[in-house]
Amino acid sequence: MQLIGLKVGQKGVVTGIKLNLQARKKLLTFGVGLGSILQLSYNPAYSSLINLMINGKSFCIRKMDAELIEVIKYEDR
Amino acid sequence: MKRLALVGKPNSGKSSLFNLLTGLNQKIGNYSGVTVEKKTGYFEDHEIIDLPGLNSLWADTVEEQISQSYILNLVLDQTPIIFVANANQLSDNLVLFSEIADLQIPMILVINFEDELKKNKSEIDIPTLESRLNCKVCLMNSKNGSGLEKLKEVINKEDLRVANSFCRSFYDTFDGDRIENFYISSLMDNQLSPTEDKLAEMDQDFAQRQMLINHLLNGLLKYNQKEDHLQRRTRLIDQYLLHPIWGILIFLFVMLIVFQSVFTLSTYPMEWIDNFFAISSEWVNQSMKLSWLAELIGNGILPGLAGVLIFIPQIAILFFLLGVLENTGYLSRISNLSDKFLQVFGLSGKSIIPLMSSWACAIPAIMSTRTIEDSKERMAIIFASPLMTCSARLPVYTILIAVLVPQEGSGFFDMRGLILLGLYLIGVISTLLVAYLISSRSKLQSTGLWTLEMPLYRSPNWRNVIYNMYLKTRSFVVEAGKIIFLISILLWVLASNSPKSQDYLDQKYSEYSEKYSDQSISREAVELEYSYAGYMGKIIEPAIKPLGYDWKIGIALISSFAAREVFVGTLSTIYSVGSEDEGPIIERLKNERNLQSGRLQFDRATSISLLLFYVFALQCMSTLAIVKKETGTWNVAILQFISFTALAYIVALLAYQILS
Repeated sequence: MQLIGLKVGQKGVVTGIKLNLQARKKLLTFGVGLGSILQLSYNPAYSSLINLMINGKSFCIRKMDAELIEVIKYEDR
Repeated sequence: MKRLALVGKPNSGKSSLFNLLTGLNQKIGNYSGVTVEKKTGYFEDHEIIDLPGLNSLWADTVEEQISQSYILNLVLDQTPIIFVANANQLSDNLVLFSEIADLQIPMILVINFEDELKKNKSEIDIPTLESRLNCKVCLMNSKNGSGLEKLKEVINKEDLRVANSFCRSFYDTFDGDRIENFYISSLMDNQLSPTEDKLAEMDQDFAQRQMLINHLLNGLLKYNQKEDHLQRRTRLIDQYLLHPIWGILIFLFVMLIVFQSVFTLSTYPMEWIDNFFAISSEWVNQSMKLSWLAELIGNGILPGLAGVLIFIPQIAILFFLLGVLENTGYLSRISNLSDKFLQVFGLSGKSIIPLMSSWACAIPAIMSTRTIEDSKERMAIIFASPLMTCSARLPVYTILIAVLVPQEGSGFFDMRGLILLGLYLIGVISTLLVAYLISSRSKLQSTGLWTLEMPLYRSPNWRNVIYNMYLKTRSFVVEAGKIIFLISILLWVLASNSPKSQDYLDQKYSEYSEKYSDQSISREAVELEYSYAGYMGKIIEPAIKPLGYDWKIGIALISSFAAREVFVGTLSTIYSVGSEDEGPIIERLKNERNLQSGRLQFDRATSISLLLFYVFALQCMSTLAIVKKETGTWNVAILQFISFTALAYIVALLAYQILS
């Protein structure tokens, strides 16, 4: 499923990133790679962004980028 | 002198620690990327270097590249590193720690935000962490300085150790009997745009580090997740501050309060300063025996300096409020909120910080664009941000608005504040339109991914806010003061001496007195018109007359091409020389009459035309120099200067012609 498909407060394990190389590098330096556990912390309806948590760090990415990140629910891993 | 480098991820409190150690200060914000260039300070016999925050040694932005190449150079002379980690993100921060530990440089680990750990009833087993890392670990709170003494003791007394390496052996290759390590060369090969192979290498490296760190921290951290009330509080506040409607309304309200405060809170201190200089000038003129010296000080230097110093209250209030917004973490929320809107102009939420920094000064704003990964967006902001209303424009706006609108009402909101807000809005709108023009025409490549760290909400570090306000204001006063002091003397000499004889001046005075018998024409005003400055001003008068400006304003315009805040100081000096009145400058401007036409010089049309000229004109040599430095070419700076000056002239011309 897409990262954006998680519910607020739900965790997911990253299984695929369909972004370009530079974007993937950027995510990696932020600590997001294959196998990383992300939590969706805020997803306002009219905003272009979603807020995520990883290792105690909160950050946001655009929804259109989040659609290109595949996850499985943490409880289904 | 021993050297130490401060390294850490953005928003780890690194710069606050730098200030605590060195007593020097700099801009510190609860927002990523505040330190954009390395800073140096001194603590006892140590030189401390504060490097820009970075997420990884696999640098991803220009700012990170600065830190990366500096850290790699430390390997040669084994300069120790103080690594600052955020206690709330220890597992994440230790990934960068491990990358640096693999360089085999002596290190100290400082775990910052001890107070937040305590609030969350969490604990870290420091002795075990020290033995597992093989380096000294200090727990501290850079906000109140707790733990600082222990850190100083460690720096002074201990032989700093090289921490255990994590993944260095991952880069080992065997060449016969020799083992060669390619870790550093692999980092140096790092390009901003990686190859598929390089990314695979990085992916493996990160995964291995994360696994080792999880193993290392196993049993050392006692986090009470249910009591993590700081995260919970941040999430709760974000529901309002990031709300698509409430968030924007709160943002607009905060901005309105900022601008009204700049005007309202500064009213009395500004009056005191203005009156103090008016009284001082009068006293100097009456009590000094050497008449030329009294003239120089009383009518040249003091009015010129008053023109700068009067704006200390406004500038200090602006920097104070921007500092509070930065320190609380609210600026990141503004980035978040503004992203969707800024995308319309080809920008992102990250542009909002350089844009808002431009309200203080375009120079740090242009430098802070290094945190913008997208080169197209970065160029658009570098080009357009000088159109935002910087603090140097504030003195010009304040004085012209005060001349344009008489003080009315005693409430918090009045017409002058609204006009100021309007001028700031014109600056914002024109900046966005120019940025759109640049980003839509630029052939530079976009990176495609946008990330923004959202720090926890924190109460401001008041010491840092006040220090920051003090240093920024002092810098404004000293930098502008130096120029204005020299220009004041030069202008006084040019405005007090005339190539014409006294008889000629007497004759002109009689002519004007006869021509404007219903108005009081001072002898000083006639002498000024026929002074060297008067003749110089008249050379450019034909070009500026269609804008409603006389030669006196022309002199102020020319002198302010070096730095726009000089405009007010120049007007103060010119109108002091040309007036018997020693009263406040605003009153002198209000009563100033054009000797040719007899009309009030600063009428509605001229004042609005001047205000609009200053909204668009790029009168700041330092900004042009920094644009050249950041873009690596003079072309952009020259294009900016010519296009903005032409735009300013056309808008001012249209405004005057329509309104008059």
